[in-house]
Amino acid sequence: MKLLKNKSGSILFTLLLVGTVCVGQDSTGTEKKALQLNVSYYLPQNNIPYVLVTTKTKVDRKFIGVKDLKVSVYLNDPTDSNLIQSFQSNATGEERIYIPTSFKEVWDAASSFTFIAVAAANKEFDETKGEAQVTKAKIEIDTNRTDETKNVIVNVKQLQKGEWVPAKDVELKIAVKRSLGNLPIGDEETYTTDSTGSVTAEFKRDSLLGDNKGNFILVARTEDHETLGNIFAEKNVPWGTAPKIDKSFNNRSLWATSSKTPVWLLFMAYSIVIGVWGTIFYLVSLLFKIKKLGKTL
Amino acid sequence: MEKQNILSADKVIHDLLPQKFGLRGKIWTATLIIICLIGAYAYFLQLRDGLVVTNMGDYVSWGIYISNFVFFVAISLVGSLITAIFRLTDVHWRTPLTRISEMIAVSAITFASLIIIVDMGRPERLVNLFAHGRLQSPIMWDVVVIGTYFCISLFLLYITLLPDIRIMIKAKEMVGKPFSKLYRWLGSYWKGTEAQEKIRNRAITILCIIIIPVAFCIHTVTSWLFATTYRPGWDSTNFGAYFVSGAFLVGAGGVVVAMYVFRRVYKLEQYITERHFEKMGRILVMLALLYLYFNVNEYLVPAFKMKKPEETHLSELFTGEFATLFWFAILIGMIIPIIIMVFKKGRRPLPMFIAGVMVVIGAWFKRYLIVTPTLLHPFLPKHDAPERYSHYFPSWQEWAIAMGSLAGALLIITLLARMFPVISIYKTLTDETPQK
Amino acid sequence: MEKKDTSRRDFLITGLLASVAVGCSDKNPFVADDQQVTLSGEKVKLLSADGEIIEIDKALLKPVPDLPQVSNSEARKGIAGKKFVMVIDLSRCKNLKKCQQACNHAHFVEDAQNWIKIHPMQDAEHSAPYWQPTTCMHCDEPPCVKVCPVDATFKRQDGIVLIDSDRCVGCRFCMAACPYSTRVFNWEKPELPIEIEKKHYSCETSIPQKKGTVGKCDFCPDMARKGELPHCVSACPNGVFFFGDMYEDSVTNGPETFRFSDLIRDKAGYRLMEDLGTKPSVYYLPPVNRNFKFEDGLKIEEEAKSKS
Repeated sequence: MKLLKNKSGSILFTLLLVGTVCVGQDSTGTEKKALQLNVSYYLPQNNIPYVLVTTKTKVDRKFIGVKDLKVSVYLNDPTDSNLIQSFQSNATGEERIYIPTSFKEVWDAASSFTFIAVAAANKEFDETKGEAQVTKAKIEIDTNRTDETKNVIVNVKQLQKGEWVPAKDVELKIAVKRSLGNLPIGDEETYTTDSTGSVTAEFKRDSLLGDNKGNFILVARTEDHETLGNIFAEKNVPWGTAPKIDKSFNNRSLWATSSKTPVWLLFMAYSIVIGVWGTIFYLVSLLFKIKKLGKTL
Repeated sequence: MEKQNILSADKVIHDLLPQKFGLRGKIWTATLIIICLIGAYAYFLQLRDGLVVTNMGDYVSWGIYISNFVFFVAISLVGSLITAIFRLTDVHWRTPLTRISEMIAVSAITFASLIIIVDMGRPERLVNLFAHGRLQSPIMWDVVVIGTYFCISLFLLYITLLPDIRIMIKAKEMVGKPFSKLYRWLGSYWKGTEAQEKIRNRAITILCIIIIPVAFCIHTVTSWLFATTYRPGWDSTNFGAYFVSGAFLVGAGGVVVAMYVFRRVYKLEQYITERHFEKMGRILVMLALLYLYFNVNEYLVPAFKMKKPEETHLSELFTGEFATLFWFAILIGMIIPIIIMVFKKGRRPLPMFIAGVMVVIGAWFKRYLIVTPTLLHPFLPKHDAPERYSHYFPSWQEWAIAMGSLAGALLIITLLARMFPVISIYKTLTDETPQK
Repeated sequence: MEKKDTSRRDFLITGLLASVAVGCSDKNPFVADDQQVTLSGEKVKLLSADGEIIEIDKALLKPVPDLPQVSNSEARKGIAGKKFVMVIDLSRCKNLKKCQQACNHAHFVEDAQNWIKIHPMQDAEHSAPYWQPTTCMHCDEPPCVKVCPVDATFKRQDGIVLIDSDRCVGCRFCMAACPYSTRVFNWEKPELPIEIEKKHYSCETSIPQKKGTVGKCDFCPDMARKGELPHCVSACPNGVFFFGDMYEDSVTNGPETFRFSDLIRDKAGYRLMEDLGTKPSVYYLPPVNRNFKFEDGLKIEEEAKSKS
């Protein structure tokens, strides 16, 4: 049971989002420490793919990263010749593995691969394995706009026996890219591709705030798809409105810094201080006058 | 009316020159020094371990240090009351009281500034107030006005001392060695010529005029440290006037106590007469009634409305945790002194002394009641914080430091009285004897 | 030869290689102009999905590039073009206190000092009780900042109110001024792991806390700079906390992202003590159609008490 587990198990168990791992509450809670070694495939913008390997264990009902584990990542078979990279896990328990150019031939030759990660046994954990099965795929995002509606069209293709064929029944999330989490473009949580590998989604976020030109980025992605992994595409669209940045922060106010003290306050404070201290200095001058009178005697 | 004694100049000088400590004086001074040293040790512990040595918490984040600070600021206002207001209104009988009140003012404002530093979590960063001072903060206003008031009080004490210093330099044999150098350093240039006297009088008049608004400022701004927040019990537009009236009361009470003590110890019955007590008694009654009036405003108006956040606060004061202390402070600080002093027999020295002590003690606890209960009644529940934060009783270190500061203020007054005449000799000599 | 590039994370690569094709923004919203990823100049060759060999700068491959440590003056200014906002959904809270634990853990705050407090609230005698987590409200007109004599606590352009523990004089006026009782004081020297204690203090991480100074919830601006959520938000298993940017009009708790204006409109969001005029940046969604009973939270409270 400690040997956790297999591809689908690990994929189903974890929900990986842009670098953050959210794991369900309940899990196997044995006395001995169980290691979770997850492997997920990422392909941003049909470009440079990478594999994200995460090492997690449960401490106090919470998953935390396991550091100082020796992990080796292989392509297809856990043999020395297939070793992509070995690494020592860091405190976050996350590591990105890119595919070196030496694997070009293997990569070009096939359309499906298995990434296998093996964590070597140490004092706390037994040897643990994790895998991810991946089929090469492409995702494309397009838009069309009529007077009334704005549509987002996403096409997904996968490589089968050396040929690009439509990937049907693929669940996709289509959203507007935001800095902390992506905002779905409509009410639907996910969209599914049809037999042509295509899906059309209506954009329902009228006058959403974009950048200062009113642009924002659409993103279509699969999330831990069984064979496609995490692939996504982005497209910049001028569908939003520019936010009105509130500049009142720069005004002088009572809650601003000392360099932005309200003028009326400065005026009041300085006139009182100058008035009172002017008088005090005058009094001191009188004292000196008395002193001078006393000395001349 | 009491009979005014006609005294010879030599006797006046002899009676009023500072005297060496007798046994009683030495014991008194030593006791004060010991209390101060205990306070200093407690402060050393606080510096070493942090404010954790106090019993303050995240709710009661201001404790008796702050209420003590408010007390000192309040009592320091007396300098402006007796000297300035009485001078400007030409109250003749003020002469034996002005020096005492000026001494009280200087020592109280000194310890007000010190005790506020004691309350700081990072006293070594005091310089930040000048390096990064922020004029929007009422604390900055307080720093400015307290600094100003300190300077003015000191100046007033000094400039009214000049003629006496001349007398003391002349009467070297009677005063003795220890301070003659100091006197010469302070005032050897004062020859008492008409030209000098003219300028000095002008300076005193100007001082008496500016000290009044500055005195109002120190206590109004101190009240704003509370009134500029939202908290029930502090969120009041009445606060400035409430604090100033309370300050005049406790200041006048303090002067009455000091009058009585100096009169007994230095045998000044011929200078501080029963008539002075009689007059001060009337003033004290008036001030107590004024303060009572502001108290009624301060508590009755919110109690009439009983807004939700005020409700807990007021009921804890009237009938709850703080009820004993609250009614004690009201009774002892205002009602009983008024009852004592409203009768002619009550305005004799001893009952006046007792009333004065009551006023001062009542005022000290009143300041505590203004600061602490409010902090225990925040808007949101006191939850997810340690249980000990829901109550407050000062730790021994806090008591030691607070008592040390009070002893320190008394010590300064004692030392000033040892060095300088507690009643202006020059004024006593030059004042035309008031005729009935 | 050092080059500067502002792009980061996944769109690092796309920004460089596909910006023409995709038109993807090459500017990260979190990185101010003066704060860019420095290219190492060291290239690596990698395999693209199409089997092409692509040369790319090593610095761009890190998931979160090493940002230069934010200077004190930058930490005081805040992130340009942002206005952070939090939404707390009271219908989802059962006083599990995961937020509190995560926050205390991340900031090395002791239990007695909770920056996040979860209050049992009952507005009136016959109204229903509910659990209300409170963070710092990061008010737009913060009473605490008004009263600070030394600019030790300050408001930033991105709406966050922070404390500079290297400047704080410990007068505690801000604690008295805050109507939400959100501020805590380091009455004694905080017990910190030695490596944390040695760290250089940063207003953005609020680490390490220092004796004799005030501490409070900081909205985790260090996390926001990395494009990550505050610790309380990601720790809550019930998704009570949402965090986001007003100028993006969206808030997220991780799995769910909502349009802020829709959420506040549809669920009648409100702010605490609106009548005081403090203008908080934290909004609450009323405890209607609750996921949990109030009593569930009481049980948790009792369990925690019996444990300690």
